[in-house]
Amino acid sequence: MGEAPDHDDESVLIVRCQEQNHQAFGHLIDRYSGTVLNVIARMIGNQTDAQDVAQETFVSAFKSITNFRADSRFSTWLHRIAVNKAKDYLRTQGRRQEREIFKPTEDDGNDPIMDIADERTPEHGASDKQTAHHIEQAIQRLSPLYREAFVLKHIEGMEYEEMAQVLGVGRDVLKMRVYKARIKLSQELEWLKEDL
Amino acid sequence: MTSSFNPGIPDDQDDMEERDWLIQRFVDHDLSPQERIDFLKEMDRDPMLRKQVLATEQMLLHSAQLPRMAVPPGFKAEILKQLAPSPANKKWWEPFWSVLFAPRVMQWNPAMAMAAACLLIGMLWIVKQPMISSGPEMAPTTMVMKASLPEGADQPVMVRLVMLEPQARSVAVAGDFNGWQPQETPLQRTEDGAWTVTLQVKPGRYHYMFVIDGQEWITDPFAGEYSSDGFGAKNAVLDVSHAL
Repeated sequence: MGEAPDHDDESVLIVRCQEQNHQAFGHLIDRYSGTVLNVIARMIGNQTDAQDVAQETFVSAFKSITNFRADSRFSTWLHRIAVNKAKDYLRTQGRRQEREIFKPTEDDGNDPIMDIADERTPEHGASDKQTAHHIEQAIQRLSPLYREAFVLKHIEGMEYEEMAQVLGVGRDVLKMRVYKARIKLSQELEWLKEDL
Repeated sequence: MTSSFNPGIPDDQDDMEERDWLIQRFVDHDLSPQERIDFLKEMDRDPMLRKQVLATEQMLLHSAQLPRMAVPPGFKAEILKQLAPSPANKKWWEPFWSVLFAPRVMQWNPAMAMAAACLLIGMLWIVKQPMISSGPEMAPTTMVMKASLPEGADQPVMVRLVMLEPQARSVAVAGDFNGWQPQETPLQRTEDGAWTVTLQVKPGRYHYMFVIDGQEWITDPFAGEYSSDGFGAKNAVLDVSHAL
């Protein structure tokens, strides 16, 4: 989740945003755009559309920021909006068959990772980059409920309590979803054991 | 797993293998100390279990280090552009409206709160004052007039009460002299907005209050003397002596 924000400073920014101060909201965008964008991108599996959905998230957050109460953290409140926007997107757009999630862009055309993108069992000794790519693909093959729980827990590093607030689901249910996501991923990435 | 180590899976998770269930709880540090020791011993005995746990941990480590999508240039600018209303669509009154009705949060401290309270009390006191200024040309609100009666006798005395309340619809007086019944003694409005009544009372001390519009009890602001009513307010005191 990165470095913890200064909450006093954040409170001041939120008060200014509630007074419709765009500049203050710009600071909050700077602070949270990375996590919001990545959560949405992994939930919907499409980087291009993730940008639109993330922008829509921030616009909605600003419009309803007068409703924000300090009974939860701002980041939790914002992530909840982001998750709901991503779910709306998935409902209206449907899952796309071809995912472009986190393809390396710097080596377009010549990257061997592209050639093995659909291989479930690469040869032993895969590089970290290849391993990351396979994990990314396996995450995208998880069902949406398991995927969102896994992403928040193990990629964004949230605690179960915060996840429960963001997703509006009980802690025990979320824990079980994370467990099952991990089991599913372990099965998909069985070849990781061969390198041990 | 051995039969000696069987913490059990919750009934609603019977689709999960017991070994998987334990591995996940181990990874989440959810096992009790004894369960953890038993699990570690089992890992020592079972190389496949050890490999499975290590592979899970490795997968989680890789997941936490997955490359992150960079925020594209212009991302923030596009959001702020969507927030700014188009000048062409902006109504002339919207800036005034937003100034008046935009939600604001004031930061405060006890000193500010006390200052605000003092200011409010001061404003209330000012509002309670008569609307017509009591300059030197104004007559006193309460006048005790000498009656043409033999001096020293316990005879009634004429007393005139005046209240400056030009915006009132009615003014009455309630006190010891009328059993605190305001409806018994209404005041009459004069052309200059004052309200007056002339009473006939025997010499003595009388407590009284004015009643504005039949409901608001106020103390005569220009009485010569006051006395506590025992409930936090004060009554005006009318002292009618033989010496008049």
